[in-house]
Amino acid sequence: MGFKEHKVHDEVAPNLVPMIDIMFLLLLFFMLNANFDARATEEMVSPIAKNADERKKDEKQEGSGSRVTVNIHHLSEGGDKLLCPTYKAGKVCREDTHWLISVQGRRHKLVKEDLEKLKSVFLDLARPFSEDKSKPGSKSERVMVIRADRQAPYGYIQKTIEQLAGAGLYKIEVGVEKPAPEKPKG
Amino acid sequence: MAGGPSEDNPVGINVTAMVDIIFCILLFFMCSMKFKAIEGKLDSWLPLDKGGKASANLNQEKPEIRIVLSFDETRGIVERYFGRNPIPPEQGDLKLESLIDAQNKAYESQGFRDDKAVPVIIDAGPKVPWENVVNVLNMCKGLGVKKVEFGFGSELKK
Repeated sequence: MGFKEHKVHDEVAPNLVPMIDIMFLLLLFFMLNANFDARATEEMVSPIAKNADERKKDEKQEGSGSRVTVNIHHLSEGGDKLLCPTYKAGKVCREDTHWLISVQGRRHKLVKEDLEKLKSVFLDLARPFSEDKSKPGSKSERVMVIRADRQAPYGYIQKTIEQLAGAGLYKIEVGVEKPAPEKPKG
Repeated sequence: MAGGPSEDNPVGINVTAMVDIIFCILLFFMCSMKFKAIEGKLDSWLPLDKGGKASANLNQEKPEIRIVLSFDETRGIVERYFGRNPIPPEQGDLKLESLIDAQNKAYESQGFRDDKAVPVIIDAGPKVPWENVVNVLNMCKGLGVKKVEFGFGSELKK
């Protein structure tokens, strides 16, 4: 019998071009929004201040101009594998060993040796902007941004301020979070 | 398949590998994406001539507006003082705000303005949560206080 076998080639060819276009746009959006300056700012809950000035884009970049951020933060649960029930409950944790002072990615504990190291870091940071570069601790024009966790006991910020004052750094900016703008009613 | 060889274009490019890689990169950026909160700043200065330590003296001749914050461990609350006068917690921020404003205006009328402006010194104890210190700083900023300084020591001497 002369039956012919017809092969049906059901080849579906989706057009990938629009999909690739959209993917590229999404990729571009996420890449431009990515924040790689995590070394400068540690994860923490900042206090809210509605009267604060909004930080300009160039002020947010670490190392731009004379600005350096000092973070006073609690050990985090993820990276530092710490489970502090007091901090987790939203209360003030007063355990010295649970708190850190971080500058440019370097973490310092609240112990004498680390605080001395911190002072030498501050002296190095102050020197290029000092009035008298040969004299350590002379008045420096560098701006230091203090970013502290809202639950941090003030004593830890005092210790940081003491080291800053000793290094001649007197221009202090307090890093806070501004509340989201209210939406107009109606 | 799009990108495969056709009559017009005999050289076919296999886009599958590229799409795979783009998907991976897209996934990475999507996962690492974080919407940041609006960052703000509050300017303040350390007393140039004194550093942080010398501001412990409450009986200075130099005019100043001193806000003392102290943590009461038995009650678990932050006590606030305007100079040596306690501000009852029930009177809230408004009382302290009005006292700072009135004192600041009084000094301004005496000629202590611009460069000679009298500083508001926030003098908090080591156990006071940072949030409470920032609250006073925010209050001063809202009132248009020119100089805000950090002092420490008098809280311990009380």
